[in-house]
Parts: sequence; C-alpha cells; structure tokens
Amino acid sequence: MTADAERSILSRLDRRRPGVRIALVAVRALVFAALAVLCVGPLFWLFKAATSTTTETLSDPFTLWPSGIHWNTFAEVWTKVDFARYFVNTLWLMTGSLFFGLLVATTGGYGLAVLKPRYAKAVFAALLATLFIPGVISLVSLYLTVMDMPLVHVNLLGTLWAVWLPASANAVNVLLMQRFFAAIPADLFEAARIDGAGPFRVFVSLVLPMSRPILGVVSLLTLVGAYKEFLWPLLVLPNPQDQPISVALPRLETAVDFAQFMGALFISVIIPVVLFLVFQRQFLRAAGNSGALKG
Amino acid sequence: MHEAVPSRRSRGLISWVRRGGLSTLVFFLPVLLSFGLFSWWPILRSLPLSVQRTNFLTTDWVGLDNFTRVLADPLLLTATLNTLWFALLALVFGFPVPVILAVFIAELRRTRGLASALVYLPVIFPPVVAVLLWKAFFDPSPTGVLNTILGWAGLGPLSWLNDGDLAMISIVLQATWASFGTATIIYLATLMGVQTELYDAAETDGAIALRRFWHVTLPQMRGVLLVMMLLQLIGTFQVFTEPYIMTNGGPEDRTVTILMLIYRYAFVSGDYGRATALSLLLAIALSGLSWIYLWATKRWSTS
Amino acid sequence: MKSTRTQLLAPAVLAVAALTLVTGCSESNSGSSGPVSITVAGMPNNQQPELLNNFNRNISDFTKANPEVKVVGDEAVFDVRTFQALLAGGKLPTVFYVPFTEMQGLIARKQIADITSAIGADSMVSRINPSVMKVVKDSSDHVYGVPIQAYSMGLLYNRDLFKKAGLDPDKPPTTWDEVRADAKVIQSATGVQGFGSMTKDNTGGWVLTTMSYANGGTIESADGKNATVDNDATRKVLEFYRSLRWEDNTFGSNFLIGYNDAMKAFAGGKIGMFVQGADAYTTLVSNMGMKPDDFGLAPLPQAAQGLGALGGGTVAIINPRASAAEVKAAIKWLEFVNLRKYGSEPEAVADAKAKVADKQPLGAPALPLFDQATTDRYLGWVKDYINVPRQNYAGYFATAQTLALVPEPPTKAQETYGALDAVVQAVLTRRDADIDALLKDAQRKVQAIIAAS
Repeated sequence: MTADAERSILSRLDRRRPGVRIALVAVRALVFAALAVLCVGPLFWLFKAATSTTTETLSDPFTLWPSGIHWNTFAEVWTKVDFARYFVNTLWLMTGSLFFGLLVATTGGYGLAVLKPRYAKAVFAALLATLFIPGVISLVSLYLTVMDMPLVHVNLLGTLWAVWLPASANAVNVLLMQRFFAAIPADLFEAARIDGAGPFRVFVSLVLPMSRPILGVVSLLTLVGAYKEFLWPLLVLPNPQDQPISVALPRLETAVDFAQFMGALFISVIIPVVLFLVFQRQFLRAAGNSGALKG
Repeated sequence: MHEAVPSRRSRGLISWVRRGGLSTLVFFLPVLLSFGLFSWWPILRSLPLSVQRTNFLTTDWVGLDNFTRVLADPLLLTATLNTLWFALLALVFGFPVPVILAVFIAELRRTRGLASALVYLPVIFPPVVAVLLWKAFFDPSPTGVLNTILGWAGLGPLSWLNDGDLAMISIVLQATWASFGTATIIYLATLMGVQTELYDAAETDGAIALRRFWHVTLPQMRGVLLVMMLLQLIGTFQVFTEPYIMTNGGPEDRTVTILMLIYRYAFVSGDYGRATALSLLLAIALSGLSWIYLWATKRWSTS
Repeated sequence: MKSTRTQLLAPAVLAVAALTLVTGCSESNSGSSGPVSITVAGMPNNQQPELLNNFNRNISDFTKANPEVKVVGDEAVFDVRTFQALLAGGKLPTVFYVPFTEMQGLIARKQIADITSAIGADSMVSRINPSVMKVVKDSSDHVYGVPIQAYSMGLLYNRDLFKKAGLDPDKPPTTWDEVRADAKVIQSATGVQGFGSMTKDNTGGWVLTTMSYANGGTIESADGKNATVDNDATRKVLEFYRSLRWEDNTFGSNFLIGYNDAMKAFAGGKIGMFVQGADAYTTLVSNMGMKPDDFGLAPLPQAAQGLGALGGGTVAIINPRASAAEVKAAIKWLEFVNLRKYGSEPEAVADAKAKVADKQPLGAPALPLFDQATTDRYLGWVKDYINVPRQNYAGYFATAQTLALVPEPPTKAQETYGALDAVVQAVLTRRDADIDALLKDAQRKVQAIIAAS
C-alpha cells in the first residue's frame, strides 16, 4: 500500500482527477499570490520608499518612482547617517558572539557527551533547568551582574563583552552539540585512545572535523540571534557610537529624513535576505530542526 | 613529615589528575564559567534582590516591600490584562494561519521549495526592522500605506496605533507577520514526516481530503502543535520590543505590557528591587502556566 | 581613547586569567594622600576640536593655578537609561552634569554629595538666582549641586509658517485663545498642523504640567505628599487640547510622539507651534538643520492666575564617593570652567571664540543664571561673537527676569508625567474622552506613585 515514497493528504491517484487538479492549481495560485503580497510586498515597498523622495512616499505611498530612482539615498545613509559605524559594530558583535558561543557549546558538548565525568549529570541537569526557567527572571539581575562581575568586580557595561559573554550561555546550543557528539560511534574514540590521543587531540582532530553540520547549524543560530538581539544590547551598550544596527535604528527613526531612514532599514534587511537566499537550505533546515528539538 | 607522606586526600587528587580529571575540568570550564556567571548566578541572585532596595551605595533589606509596591501599582492590572489580550490575539491570529499554509504548501510539488523560502522571508527581517517598517505602515494619515490600501476598498482611514481599541490589534498583526514563517516551516517539516500508510488506509475507507486532514494529519501534528502553542504563550507573555518601539505603552496605557513595566521600574526609575520582584512574579506565573498546561495536555492525550 | 581601550582589555585579561584557573587578585588601589585627583565630565569629543582644545586649555590653566589638583577629562554625558548604571558601576566622574529633572530624585535617594559646607561665601555660586538655586536644595536648605545653565518652558513657533499664514512673526500669541486662533490660521493657510504636543515617553505629562502651571494649577502639593492633578487648571488645558483636536482639527493625526519626533517635525516645518524648553534651539538648529531665522520663541502664555513657567536646566553634581578634598577641588573646577566666564572678560571671549569656531550657537535662548547686571555685562563682552538672532526672542528675554520659575512636581516627577501621558493621549485619541473621569483616575494613579516612593 505504500507505493508512494512521498505523498501528502492527496495521493497520486487523487492528483489525476480533473477536479482535484483544478483545485490544486487554484490553491497554488492562491498561496503564491498571498505570499507575494505578504512576504515580498513589504520588502519591495521598503526598497521603493528608500529610493523615492520623502514627499513622494508620504503623499502617495504606492506610486512607483515619479522622479526616478534615487540611488544616492544609500550612499547618504552609509556616510552621513554614520551607518557604516553601526554596521561594523554589528559585525564585531556577531563575531564575538560566534566565537564565545562556539567555544562554550563545543567544549561543553564534548565534556557532557564524551568525557562524561561524575559531575556531568549535575551540569546537564542545571543546563536543562535554564531551558525551563523563563529568561525574564534574570533580566535585571543579569544586568547588575554584568555591571559588577562577581569576585573580580569589573564593569562590563559599555563594552561588547557585556553582549558576547552572556550570549554564550545558551543551553540549546550546548545540548545540540551534546546530542550530536553522543551519536559519534564509540569505536572511533576507542581507536583514537589506543593511538595515544589525549582528550584534547580527540576533540580537535576527531570530534570537531566530524561535526561540521552541527557546527554550521549552531553558528547560523548564533549569528542570526546576535543580529536580531535588541533589548540586551540596548541596555548594556548605552553609548551610541558602540551600538549595533538593531539598537541604532529606533534612535535614527526620529533623527533622520524619512527616505534615508527607509534606506537604513533596507540595508539592514537586505544583508540577511541575500545570505538567506544563498544559504536557503541551511536556514530552513535549522528552522525545521529547532522545531524537532523543541518537540 | 607532613610533606613527605601525602595525605589520602592529596593522593586522591594526584590520581584524579592522572586519570585526566584536570583536563576534563578544563573542557568544562567554559560552560561552567559562562552559565555560572551569566545564567545560574543571576537567577539565584534574583531572590535576594527582590527583597532589597539598593542605590548602589548602600543596600537595605526591605522584606516584602518591593512586592507590595508592585501589587499596589495601578498599572500592574492594566499591563497584565494587556499582556493577556496580546497573548489571546496572537493565538487567534497566529495559530491557524501557519497550519493551513503548511498543509497547502505540503500539497505543492515542484514549487514547494520556493514557497518555503517565501514564507520564511519575513522571519529573516531583524525584529527591529520589521517593527519599524510596520510602524511606518501604520501611519494614521489618509495617505499612510495601510490606509491607502483600505481606501481602495472604500474603507478607513483608521488611526491604527493611535486608536486605543486598535493599537494592540495592530501590534499583534505585525508580530504575527514576523513570526508565521517559523511556525509554517516547522509544521511543514512535521507534515513531511506524517505516516503515509494512514492516509492510504483512510483513502481506502473513502475519506475525502478534508476528513483525511482532520482524522489523520491533525492527530499526528498534535504534539508539535501543543509545544508550539506553549512556546508561543511563554513568548507572548514576555513581549517587549514591538510595543516598546511602536507605542511605548500608549495610547492611554493600552499597550503597556508586563515586561515593559519591569523595564520601566529598573531602567527608567532605577528601582531594581521592585523590577526584580515583578520579574519573579511573572516567572512564577509562567512556570505555573507551563505546569498547568503540561498537566492538561497529558490528561487530554491519554484520555 | 585610552580609557576605552583599557575598558576593553581588562575583561579580556580577566577572562584569560579565569580560564587558566588563576584566581584573580584585584589590584589594590590605596587611597591617595597628598595631591587630589578628580575626573570631570563635559569633555567634548574629537568631532568638536575647538571645544576640545578649549577644554584641555582649561585643564592646564586650572592645574597651573591649583598644582595640587590633577584633573582628568571624561566624555560621559547624561542619559536616563545609563545614569543609574554609571552610579552603580562606580564610573560616575567626580564632576558630572545632570538635568534639573533628576535633582530631587537624586537627593531623595542620597546618590549625590552634599556640598553645602564646601561652598565658600565669596563663591560665584552664592550669586546665582535664588529661584534657580531652589532646584538643587533639599527641604532643609542643604545644597547638592551647582546650576550652570537654566531655561524655562516657552512657546516655540515657526516664524516662516507665521509669515506664510499672514501672521506677524514678531507678534506671537500671548494668550491660549490667541494660540488657538493662530493655529487655525496657520492650518488653513499652509495646510501644516497649527499646534502640536509631545505625548509619550513622559513628555506628554511634562507639557501638561507646564500648561497647568500656566493656568494656575499644580500636579502635586508643594511638600510632594499629595496629588493635586484633579484641578480646574488641568481641566482647562485638556479642554484646550480637545477643542484644537476635535473642533478645529489643528492638532495633527499622530499622538504617539516623543521628544525627538516632535523636534524633527518642528525643525522640518511640519508643526506651527508647540510647548518646549527654550534650550531646544541648539538641537533644532545645530543638529536638525532648522534655519536660525525660522526659530521663534515666545514666553509661555499665562492665564490671569498663572503660576509661571516650568523651569529646566543643567546642574553640576559631585560623586557621593568623593572625599572632602575631592569635593573641594571639584567645586573649584566647576566654578573655574562654568562660572568664571561671567566674571572675566578674557575668559568670556575665549569661550565665545571656541564656540563660534565649532559652529555652536552663542547667545541661544536661556534664562540668566545671575542677576540682570551680571548677565548684561557678560553679553556686552561677547556681543561680537553672538551668532543667534536674539531679537527674535525679545519677548522671551523680556519676561525672563519677571516670570516665576516653577519647579517640577517634587515626588517622582518622571513617573507622574508617565501617568499623565495616558490622560493626554486619551483626550487626543478619543473624541468621547471623559475629562472628569480621566482626571479622577490620574489623581488616583499619581497618589499611588507618591505612596510607593
């Protein structure tokens, strides 16, 4: 009975019926029309608004470039609005978050899945617990912690460390790594140990090279997360010249011309969109995966 | 002598190091430091903080004063009702659409990849960008983007964020737009894993497509649907960015949320104790909600 | 530059140290004896080279005169969101500048130094207008700061729009009825909204309070123990808003606007008139590109029983952790750098030259800090450098010495304003808003805020 390797609600037989065929065509047209308006529409309009003058957009939002395309908006945003600085800040923020995120997730996952000392169970339980405790509980106390680090009494506020380090405490990433490492066949570790490889060698030359897929997923999740974050960097990076794009934009809204602001929004969104179009599959798999993990 | 004869403890230590205990610990250090300092310690610290009052020069223990001051705030009830309203609207708007969309997209063959990519596009928008863009869409003047569209149908203009009754609905519209892609992709992944034998069985029973959806598809999605609903609820109870940027709580406090109240206590008024007290209350309510929810769904799934 | 780098480096070093399990032993910082070292805010960033030079020259001149004091500049500026963090992290410079609005809260929370005994009788500070000094004193007359700049709320209007509407830009409205009438004229002649107001982020309540004062009402009792929101003056202001919004339709269509939204709209010629601090000139002209000649400023219209104008300004405060010697040095410094120019011609000229070279406005609308004679003498010294059309604010200056300066609500001013935002938004977004009920509700809320303090 399982002739179709892949089927959905409708079977191949259904699809041959004319009524079903027409309905399918209609559904397809409907789905794509809706997606075009809802998903592509706003992006297109944003581009249009960025390359039209402020008055044009504000007086009639749907006329297409009555005075031509004003490409210079983007140059203005980049230089006059100082967007280049926010962009560089964002890159730094993402790089550091990636580094510390991967450091914690890989070493932690390795410790939990492979080295498994006696205290691993306790650490694992404590990690799981953070998944079930709502993050809001520690917003204020985390802020105070970062402001005056325990024991060493250093104030991280106003430095990127205040974003990088707290972001590295991401239990989902550690657990993803742990799950992946645990699935590596035990014989491989045994063989490496017989060859005289210590835990560090095993980690660097066996575990990490085998984990490229999961490293990709965790990196992607971390980078996207870092790019999207708003409230935390808003709190810990009070100085405008240190802020990433997401924190700078709401401030720019009231400070620059409308068309320029639309240009700033467009630049902020087109970078991830291009990356998404290039790495579409990875993105969608990560999204589907995160559902599987949550399930 | 003491140095000459190693005590039992130090002998244990040496053998622990020999067995690789130290190098193992080195691997655990990043995770312990990172979670210790930035996750576990702040969570624990919330407890004393909620019964303290600090101006950063001196810290006083004030008992339950922070909690009574939270409960005495007339805005607390407003913020709670607003947050519940947001959560309810987000469920009503945001829950059925991805399910239906995922089912439709699952029926596509060659164009499924393209449809998935399009669906996911709004998720790629950084939240702040999406919020600010929609804030521009919600321009209350007759030449605003949404008002122009309404105008084509002979409706409006609406005041959107400027209308107390409409402001939260507008915010939920934006939030739904920003998030429906994630849910759709997750449902789509689940649908692809639905056991096809059951469809075939249903088909031989002569069940039409709609009934197949109802009796075969939905029951298999039940698990993921419940988890998604739970996650969405927990997320919506902590909503902040959208109302903060679009209305900062207005008009007439109709979009003040609980997290916004926490933010104001802590970072506008410098009243960290009161803010922590409210955080704790919210966290307790959320955990309680999770437990009730899990309990209810367990009962439901076993009955 | 250097301080930022050490800030970034320190945690790195610590992180590495922690990772290799070396327990960090913190650097011991023994209290310095002998020479005093203070850090002072107000250092311009390197995008204002002339001002920075001037600042550095001030430091070297000051150190020459006071060799026992070491002065280190700091770029930190006041920001509501970060101020508590500066305090908490112990990073507040010895001398720091905050707006008037923060003073009562800081005094109540004991977060700033009491400097009463450190101010000498011959100090310039003792010559500051008593009505301005009130802002920095507690109920028992202890002094917690030095006002260095003051302004009052006024009626800002766009002179260009006045001209286009056929109104005389040199005769701005002097009563609220005239404001309403002029708003109508502007709206019908130019299509631009005649009147506007900020409404969110506590600014709606701020302006409502200002206008209540002008109509003879207060928001809190003088001792800060009781809410007095529910009064006829406030009712009158809300009725005024209601008429402009729903009868004349001269109030625009967006009622979720904060300080910067309103400033941007006004600078862009999209609002005819609005109530704002007179110090807005610098932001509007220097940062937002408004033409100096378009900026109009009139004294806030007062009803017959009006109490005066809400005041604002900048206060120099001193870190509460400072030692007695540091407090003394800090006061010496801030007199040297902020007040000396009012008493010495060369200083006044040097300061003026630097400002003009950096295209900063000189002679922008402000309230005189000292009596009329001192102020006039200072203006005489710098008259060749004034780059602001002061004749356009003749009306504001004429009332500056006579119009009473009313302080903000004494208890939790910002939270009180937040509660009033909702009232203002209600009247502007709901045609059927019940003003009596709103005021009763606001009265209850403000009382609750006072009770929770």
